[in-house]
Amino acid sequence: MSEIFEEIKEAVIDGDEDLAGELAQKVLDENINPVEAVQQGFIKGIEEIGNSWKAGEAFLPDVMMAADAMKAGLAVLEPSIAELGGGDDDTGKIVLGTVEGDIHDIGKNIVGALLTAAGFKVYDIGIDQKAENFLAKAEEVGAQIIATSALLTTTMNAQKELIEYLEEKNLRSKYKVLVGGGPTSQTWADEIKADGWAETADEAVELCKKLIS
Amino acid sequence: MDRVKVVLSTGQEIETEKGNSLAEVLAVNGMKIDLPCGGRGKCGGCKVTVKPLAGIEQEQVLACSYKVLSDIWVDIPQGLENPGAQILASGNKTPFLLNSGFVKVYDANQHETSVLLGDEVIAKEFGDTTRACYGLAVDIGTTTVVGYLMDLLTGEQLAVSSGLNGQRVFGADVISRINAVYTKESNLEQLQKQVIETINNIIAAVIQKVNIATDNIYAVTLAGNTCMHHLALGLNPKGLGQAPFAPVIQHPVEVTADSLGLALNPGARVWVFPVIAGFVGGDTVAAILASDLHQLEDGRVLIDIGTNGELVVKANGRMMACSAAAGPALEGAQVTYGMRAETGAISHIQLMPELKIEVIGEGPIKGICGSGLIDLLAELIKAGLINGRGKLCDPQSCNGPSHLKERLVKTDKGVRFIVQRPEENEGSEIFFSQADISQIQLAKGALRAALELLVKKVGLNGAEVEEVLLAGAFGNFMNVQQAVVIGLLPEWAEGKVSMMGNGAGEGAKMALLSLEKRVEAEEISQKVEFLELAGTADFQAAFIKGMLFNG
Repeated sequence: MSEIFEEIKEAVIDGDEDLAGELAQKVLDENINPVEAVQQGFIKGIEEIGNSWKAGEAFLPDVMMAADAMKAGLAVLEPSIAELGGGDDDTGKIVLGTVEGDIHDIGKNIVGALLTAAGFKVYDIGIDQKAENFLAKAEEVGAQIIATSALLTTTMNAQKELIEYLEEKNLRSKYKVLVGGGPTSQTWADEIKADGWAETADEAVELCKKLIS
Repeated sequence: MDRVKVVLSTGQEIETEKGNSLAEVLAVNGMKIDLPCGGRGKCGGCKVTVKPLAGIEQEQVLACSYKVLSDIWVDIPQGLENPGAQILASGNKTPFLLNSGFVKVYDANQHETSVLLGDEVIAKEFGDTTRACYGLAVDIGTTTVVGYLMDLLTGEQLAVSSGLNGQRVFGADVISRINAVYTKESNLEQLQKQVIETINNIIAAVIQKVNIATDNIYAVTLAGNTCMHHLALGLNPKGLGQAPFAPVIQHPVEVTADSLGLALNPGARVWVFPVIAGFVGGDTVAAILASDLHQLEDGRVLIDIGTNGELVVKANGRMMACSAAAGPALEGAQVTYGMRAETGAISHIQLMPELKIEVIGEGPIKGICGSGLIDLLAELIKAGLINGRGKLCDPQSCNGPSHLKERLVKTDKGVRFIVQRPEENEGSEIFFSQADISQIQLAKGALRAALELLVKKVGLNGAEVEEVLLAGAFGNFMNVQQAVVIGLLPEWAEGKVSMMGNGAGEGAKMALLSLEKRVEAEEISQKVEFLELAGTADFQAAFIKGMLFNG
């Protein structure tokens, strides 16, 4: 059984989307525990890529390809994991998305992949999302963290509006709100009273771990 | 009368009569050439480096006594160039009818000349001024603004001048200009004033060069990206800062010069190019016009490489455009030793069988310009020093040739390739780092992804593409084969690329000289379909693929 986990890990590291999907199907066909396949295969692979990225040994295409491979595998396994009653949700749930008016998502997708690798359950709601959509998803899944991405100086203000929206609904203290994206900074996070900011995807993972523990 | 071509290191291309003195050619085209001895060949003050356009043998000559007898390339030392060095002053010309719409009629009885636009008299001038009828075509770039003074009676270009866009104080890119208006509404007025002032400075410079009166300039055309278009007209650009990035207006606009604050004949007419979408603007419409893409056969691609790349494809009777946020890496920015194509820049480089470098001008090497960066990357791939994902190989485990392997150095910031050791370059080291490679990967990945998706969207097979038209200053120096090696251009582009110079400027000139061309420009803006790429799953996949090297 550990052999297929090793193969999955390699497929993710190589960024081989097709192979990752095939191996996930094999997990199902051979009645292997999908949760273990995720933890010991897919997540191990993305973790390793994340570490080599941090060390300057892997590059953007490596990380993006690995993230896609992991996504392809998880898509195959998710239905049966849900049937089994889910994996362990203890690490935390995060709603992730790009703010209203902004349609850039590559950075956000990498953050999502590394958060998943770190064991978080990530609900990626996509691009150009209104504040109410972030909140609705967070309420629906019982998330602890709302993480927002903005790539343009002209759209980062929507991060502030999201926080104001939560305040308006008297739900601000219920969630930790994180901000990220090219033009954002710690100063910006402080100014709009966000709970945290991270410059890189791996720093975002550390930040989420710190906020939830 | 034989004509020869003079290509300057600044990117400017000049056609001149065979046998003219180089000093004269440079002076007429706006170079601040200094002739302390009065051009008698005595002082050496006008020394420049020239080489045949088709060869590599450089020689130093005195511009005052050098006669241009064949096509040559000239290195313009810093300080001599006119500002805004990289913009090309000429490109391909398609024959068209000269019809600016302006007519001057002299009435001998009244001893006065009427300036007519159609039936309308826009000005009356004392005396016979029928020979003085000028226009200004302007390419408003986010960084550089270029103005071309044209004779509306002959279609001849009389002078060129350029200046840095005064809006730069608000930031280098369009988003920062838009954001200035988000921050404070009154900044819009400020931004408009700054670009008009930049154009006014250009007007002052061109009229001084040819000694004409501003009052005799009756027409202006403006071509700029959508943000520049909005700011020049004082239109609120806020919509361009957020999805769906909608322009306030798209159609062409005609206003009087005094309503914009231009220092010209107050009745002069300013015609502003229509735009296609928030990030495909009037500069692209002008480039299409200049390239004739709209009239050429199907199966053609136009690529305008600047900080933002714009691509247009024509196929199956349709034209479709998209923009690619390539970033300025290919212009040398964001790369440790990247620089513009100026004196001291490596313009071409070869690694096999031995290291060979071509540098612009004399003196120590200062850095590498866009064409040199493409060469270097391609050569490293060919020599096996970079893998398919862009990783420089480890000096210990590298199997590459030994003369290159010994130039690989491992540092705490990753591996570097030493292009020039300090002892080879008067004490200054020039290297190419792993991070530099990533920057170029991002730029070429975005451009390549845009090209692939656009071609696919219109149902064109790469092999069916007949011609790839490359606009923008950068393209002219690029080695197409090397661009294919690094994957900036696909393999099917090889042998099909033609360079067209500054497309936006050429298009602006055409619209200035021909009312029919303005109608064509409007048709282009309506006909071109826009394809939004950001935020689509297809784009991410193509972007990743575009970043790889297939070497």
